[in-house]
Amino acid sequence: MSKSDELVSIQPPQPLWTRHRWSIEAALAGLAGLLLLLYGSGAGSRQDTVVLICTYALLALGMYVPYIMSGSLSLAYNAYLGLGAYACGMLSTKLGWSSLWGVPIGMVLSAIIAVILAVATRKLSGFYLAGVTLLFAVAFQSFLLDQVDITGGPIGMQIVRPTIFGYSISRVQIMVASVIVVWAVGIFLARMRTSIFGVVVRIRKDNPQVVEASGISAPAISVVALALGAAIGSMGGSLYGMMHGVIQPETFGLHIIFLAIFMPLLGGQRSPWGAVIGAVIVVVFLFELNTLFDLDMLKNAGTLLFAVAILLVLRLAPDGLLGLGDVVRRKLLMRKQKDVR
Amino acid sequence: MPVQLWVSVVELGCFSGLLALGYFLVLRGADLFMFTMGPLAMFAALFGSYQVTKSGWPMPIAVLVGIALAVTISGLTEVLIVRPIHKRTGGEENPSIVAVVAILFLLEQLAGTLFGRTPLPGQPFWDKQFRWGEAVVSGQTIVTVIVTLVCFVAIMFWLRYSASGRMLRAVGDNENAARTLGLPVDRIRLIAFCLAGLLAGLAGTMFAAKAGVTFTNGMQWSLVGFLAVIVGGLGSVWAPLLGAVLVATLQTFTIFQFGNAARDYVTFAVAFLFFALRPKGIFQTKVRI
Amino acid sequence: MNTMTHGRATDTEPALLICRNVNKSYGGVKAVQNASLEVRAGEIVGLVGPNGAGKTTLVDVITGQQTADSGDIVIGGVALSGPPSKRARLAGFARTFQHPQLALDMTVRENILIGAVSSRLSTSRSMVRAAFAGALSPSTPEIDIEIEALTADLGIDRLERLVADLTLGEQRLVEVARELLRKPAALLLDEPFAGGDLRGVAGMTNALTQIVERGCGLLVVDHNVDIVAALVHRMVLMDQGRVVFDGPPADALASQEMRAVYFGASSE
Repeated sequence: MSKSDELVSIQPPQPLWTRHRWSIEAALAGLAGLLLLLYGSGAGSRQDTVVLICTYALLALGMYVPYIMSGSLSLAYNAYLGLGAYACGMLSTKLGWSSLWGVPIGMVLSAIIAVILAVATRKLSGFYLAGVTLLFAVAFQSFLLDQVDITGGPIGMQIVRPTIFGYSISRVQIMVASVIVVWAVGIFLARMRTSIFGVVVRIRKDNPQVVEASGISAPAISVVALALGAAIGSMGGSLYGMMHGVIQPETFGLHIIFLAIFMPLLGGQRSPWGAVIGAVIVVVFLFELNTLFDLDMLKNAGTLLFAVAILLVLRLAPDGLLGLGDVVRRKLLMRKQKDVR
Repeated sequence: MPVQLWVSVVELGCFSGLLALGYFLVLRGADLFMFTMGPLAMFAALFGSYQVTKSGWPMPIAVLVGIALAVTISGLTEVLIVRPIHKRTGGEENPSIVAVVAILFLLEQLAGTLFGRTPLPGQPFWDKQFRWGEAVVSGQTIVTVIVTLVCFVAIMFWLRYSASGRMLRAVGDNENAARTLGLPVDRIRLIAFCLAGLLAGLAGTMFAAKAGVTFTNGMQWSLVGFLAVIVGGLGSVWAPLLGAVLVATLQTFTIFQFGNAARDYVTFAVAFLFFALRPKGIFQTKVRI
Repeated sequence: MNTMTHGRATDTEPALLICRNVNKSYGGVKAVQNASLEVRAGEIVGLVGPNGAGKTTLVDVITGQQTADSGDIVIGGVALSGPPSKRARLAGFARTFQHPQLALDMTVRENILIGAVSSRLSTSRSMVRAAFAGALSPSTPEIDIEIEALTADLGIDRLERLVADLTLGEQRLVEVARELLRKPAALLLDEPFAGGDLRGVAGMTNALTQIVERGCGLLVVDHNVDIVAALVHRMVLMDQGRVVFDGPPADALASQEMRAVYFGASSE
């Protein structure tokens, strides 16, 4: 008689934390979101900060699936962000639609572009994807600046306050919606991560041949992951645009690419909430730099500092700052295990 | 296209050819795309110009130190960043890509912080102007062409006749096998990076004399070098130059006809087409049996 | 020529894996010459031989990583053809690797899980659907029951551990579990005893019995002739590209061919 007949009762029950991790994290994140909203109930500029945090959080979450989970690095995120925002702008000013439509349309456009770029390079090394997405990012930025008739050029374009079923959505409501969206996307990704699809996506990162051996096309998984990420990023741009009412090309400049890589790396791999934390840290840091020093040089030194930080993180803490905690915990656990043996 | 523009093509072609050659060497030796070529070129040029205009250094010194800086930075990035990450992750691609991109941004912002954000004029080696038919050819252009050809020939000889040059390809193709065979893998990789830095420094300094240099040039320069090596392929040491001339022709013509933004669209489109259809470039590496 | 002797454990079971007169050369060197071997259901076959004997090449041909110059490979009654991974998967054949191919930063359970996925995710549309379905209900109760049973049999516990924290022996068992979840007709174990500690060897030995109990045919390729001899029903010895012995392990160990091949060399 094999042991399997005695089944699960032999295994010790998993600790509460492991079994319900995602819901505990979601609850904590919800709490953080409420605190953020509380903060945003003050002056108008605070509401802008909250939405900025949400925009960057969605940018980071957009990088999470293709890059952190699956190891596919796309550098076109400034374009996805911009597409989301300019979609809102163009639909509302040129077609008279509610700018809210920019959200789904921006998502679809971004996903399509991500798919095209990924499919073209699916059989090539990661450097090619990085290269083609970077070239697209540069071309997109040029397009925004150059095509004045379409995008308004360097001056930018306006975005009409969004309406739904004829009711105008206020800035406070946009802010609340932004926090909810980030929270929902975070939960979505946290759950998806542990599902079969999530497991396949994550195994693809270092062991694509194992994915192939299961009869699944590894390149196709990468393409789908990249499309998902682009769509999420685009949402961030749309929310930003609807909140601010006016957008300019320089908001979606190449520095965004860099932040998009940096935020999720800072936060760590094991949970999409780490990406959100990375976003909060970046925005707070930038914001504090701005108000504390108000010096042009220091504001621009932000990217420099981030670049140094990212290299340090890569060198010393490959699993991000949250990952450092993991490493310490595992080392302690292993020491305990060795004693037992 | 007016003859004068062909002079531009030659200048741009030589410039991006040198950058592409740097890409070529690092691709062969370390199997990665050195997206930092552009910022390295920019850094050397900006440093040189800054020292001449703001600190009053004599031009030759400023230029030489600038180029030496590019070599040093390139070597340092290999030793301090690329190599440890490569070793620690067992040659995984992604950390290397992110590291290279991070260094690209770092150099750009560092240059901006150190040398200011306003464009500076370049430092020509040879200030004369010559007439050639309808076109005006500057002495700098002639110098650029000569230096480019010298570099290519020198690298060709290095690859064919020097010990480390011959080992370059072995190291890049299969690093583990090369190590097992006892090849000085780390040293060869470092040499490749330093040579690339040298090429970047030369290219940037010479090209800056044409239209000046500013800290944001790095990205654009990296991308034109990248496209040149993609188009040319890795089949021969001259392939990057051919790719560069083709790209320069295309870019110059596009700007002439359609303006600056169109150049970026076309650059993207050409790269996209090559990736999709002929990723190994025009000159593909022949498999040695 | 093969020296086929009697004493197969299960003569009447269907042959799950058949290699017939397989030839493979690399640039003039005959890596595998006229090799034939069979694995039947419920049978453990050991493939041994010194380095350069052609074991690896034959394994690569069987798993589809290389194509034979001539000869047949039949797995589960299906003659192989087509691209490598597809061939192996469609034909119900699985393999492990000397260095286990696992995602180190994922848990044991997650690494095993992918064995059960099969062709549920064959199109992009099904992938997108799976992404959303996964977010709505990430748990996989039916698969988890199978995994619990399998890991209990194989002696793997604490499935929430990260694979990076496991010993080599444990990692190999995880890989075996993953492959078994594919319900293959035949399983090939590549050097499952190489470099393992005593506990690892014991664990793998137990695993072999479990595999065969599931009706899987098992081909064990390893250098450790002694360990293999103690575990298999039949031993196949290769030398210089040819199969030089095929029979019960006791006979194999005593045979002239074995002595000739390993003369002077200590078995690792």
